[in-house]
Amino acid sequence: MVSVAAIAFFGYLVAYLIRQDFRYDFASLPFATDISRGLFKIASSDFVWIAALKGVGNTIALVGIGIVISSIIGLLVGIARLSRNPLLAGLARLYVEVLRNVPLLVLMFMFAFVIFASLPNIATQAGIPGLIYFSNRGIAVPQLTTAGGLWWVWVLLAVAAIVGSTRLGRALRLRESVTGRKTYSRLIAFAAWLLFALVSFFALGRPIRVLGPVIDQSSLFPSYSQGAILSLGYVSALFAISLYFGGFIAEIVRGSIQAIPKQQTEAAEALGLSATQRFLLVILPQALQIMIPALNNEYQNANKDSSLAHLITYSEVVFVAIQVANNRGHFIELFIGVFLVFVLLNLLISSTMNLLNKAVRVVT
Amino acid sequence: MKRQSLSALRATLFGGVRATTTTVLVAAPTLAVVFVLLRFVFVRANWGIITENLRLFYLGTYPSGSEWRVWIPVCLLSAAGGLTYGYRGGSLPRLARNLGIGGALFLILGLEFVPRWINALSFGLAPRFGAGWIMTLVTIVVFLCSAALARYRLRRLENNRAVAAVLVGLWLAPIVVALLLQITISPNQWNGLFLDLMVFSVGGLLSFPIGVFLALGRNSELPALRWVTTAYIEVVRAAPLVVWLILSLFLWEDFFFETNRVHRGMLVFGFFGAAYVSEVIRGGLQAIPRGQYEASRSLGMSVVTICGSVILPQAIRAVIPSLVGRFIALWKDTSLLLGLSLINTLEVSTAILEGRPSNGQFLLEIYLIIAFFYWVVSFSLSRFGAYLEKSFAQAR
Repeated sequence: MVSVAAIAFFGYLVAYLIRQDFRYDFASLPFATDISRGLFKIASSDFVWIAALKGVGNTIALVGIGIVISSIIGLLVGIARLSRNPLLAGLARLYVEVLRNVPLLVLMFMFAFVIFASLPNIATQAGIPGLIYFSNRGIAVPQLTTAGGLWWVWVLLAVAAIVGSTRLGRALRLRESVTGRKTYSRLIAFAAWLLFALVSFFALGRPIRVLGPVIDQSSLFPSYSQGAILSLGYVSALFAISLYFGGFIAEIVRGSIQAIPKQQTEAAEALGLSATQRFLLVILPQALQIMIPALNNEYQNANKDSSLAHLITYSEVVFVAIQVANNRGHFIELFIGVFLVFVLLNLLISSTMNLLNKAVRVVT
Repeated sequence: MKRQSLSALRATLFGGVRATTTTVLVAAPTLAVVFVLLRFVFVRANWGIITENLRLFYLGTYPSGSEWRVWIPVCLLSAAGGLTYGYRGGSLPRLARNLGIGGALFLILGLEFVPRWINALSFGLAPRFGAGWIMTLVTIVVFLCSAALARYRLRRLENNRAVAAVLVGLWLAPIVVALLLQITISPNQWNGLFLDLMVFSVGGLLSFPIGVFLALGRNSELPALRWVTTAYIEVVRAAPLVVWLILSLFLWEDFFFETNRVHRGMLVFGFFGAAYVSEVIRGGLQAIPRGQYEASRSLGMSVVTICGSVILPQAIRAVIPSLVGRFIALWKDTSLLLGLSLINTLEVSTAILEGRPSNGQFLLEIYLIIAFFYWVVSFSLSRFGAYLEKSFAQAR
């Protein structure tokens, strides 16, 4: 009976969706609103589908970088929690207990409306000249640009050189195993790659250049004239997500390090490995294997929770969808799209993590 | 003894070059941050905005004169907390000492603000908050008395099942009483922390049975039931709660009956939380060996009895930590209720600052207090979870 009711309800939902007259022809109309709070700024003349793509890009930029930073924070804090130094361990514990128990949205509001909202006016030129500027227009950081059309040639050469230098290293190691003389294979292979990359870089006329941020002071209203500008919406959401998920990942890291049996450390000690070697060569590789399923889960949570950023008006995918629905209607079509974006990104995350899982599996 | 531990501490902090370097490298920035924080809390901050608006944080526009409808469940909650604390064997002298130390520290460090706080807790609020400070005292006394009662007068319960039943009853009572007392109050007048707590407790209560049903359905042998529950769980988990809240804001009437937004929030929380709870419980179900089922079968038990008294108790006990984690997440998710255009604790900040110049003044104070409110509840939940885990592990 229960299953009959369940199927009936499901059928009702499906019938509702079918009854709707799905039309996506609004996608080629202009977006009609200017939004500059995102990393990719949306102009009112952009087509709706371009705006949607920019929204997805904003989500990916937030989640991708957020995952990387929160993993670094999590790794450091998780290791610090196991430190023998009570001060360091206590501090790491404090971090975890505070950050894990405060809602992500409150953190986002704090960063967006208090901390980054109090940055100075652009005319004060706060920051380090040529490296970074903070102002209420956003944070400007150095930007990579290409000069001449040959950057892809250089990238191809550098990648090809990785293959070549690996072969060189392998050949040197082979000789080492035959002759017994030390060949410093890794060092030489790396030096050869670096030399090749540098020579080709300059030979191609420096195809990739770093441009530091510049503030144009000549006009009455100063503005950034060069460099990558990270909008405050983006930076706030990124800080909040990184710190919040850093706390969760720290607990995963701690748990998986603690799950390694003590005998592993003792055996490594008996082999004469130093404390650093013990950790990097014995404990961490095994801990990674335990960590990855839990990390996968946490990264997917980060992906879903990135949608909270629309409440601080960061123009990620939900924000764009609401905006389009306000301007053009088609609410259901839009949210089916949003749903698909989250599903696809989660699939991407979990398949990447599965690949990683295979890569770190310890051969026994 | 004390000297020994002190010297041991010195050895771990300053024994050798490496330890000393670490300590100094950690201590220097820590001290700087602590200094900045303390200076903000005790010198820079203007806590008046908080103390003046405490009622908004707690109750918002709840009709005045009806505060007793909130205080009774709060006292019941306090009694439940006290009984649990005392039964657990929490030390009463230590509790009193901690309360004393906290109060003294507060008095010494916050001397400048004490008059204002006392004012806020007593006479400043008295006309608006009912007898706010008396009720605060009553709540604390109820906690201490019930803790003492449980500590010194109650017999230890031997039976695992009795412990579970008493715990559930104890913590369910305040929620049920709170709901019953609100019958005459329109949900549109629930705001602030009270709204968050109501949505959380009702949503959490709903999510548990639905989650159990979904978990059993997903493990069921009836294919139709299995498919539908699996589809439900996966679809709900695929999208973030914000998206479901937005959808419920705009599409609810198309699908269901017309509902007040608060009730809608409770239902969304219940049905959203259920998908996650069911995955946790499913993990517990997988940990139960098949032999348990076969043994119960051979004893002639019905499927319902097997699920209810053999499989589920073990499965749920195995996943208590993750279950509590799910409820903490649900509590933190109540901060999203502002997406339903309800005035929850977070949205109170807008209400407070309405009509003031928007120069960012007071914002940090307000968000710190809001974060503190959310933190207190999640942290207590996580402690409660740790206690549950330990008590069931011991009682085995």
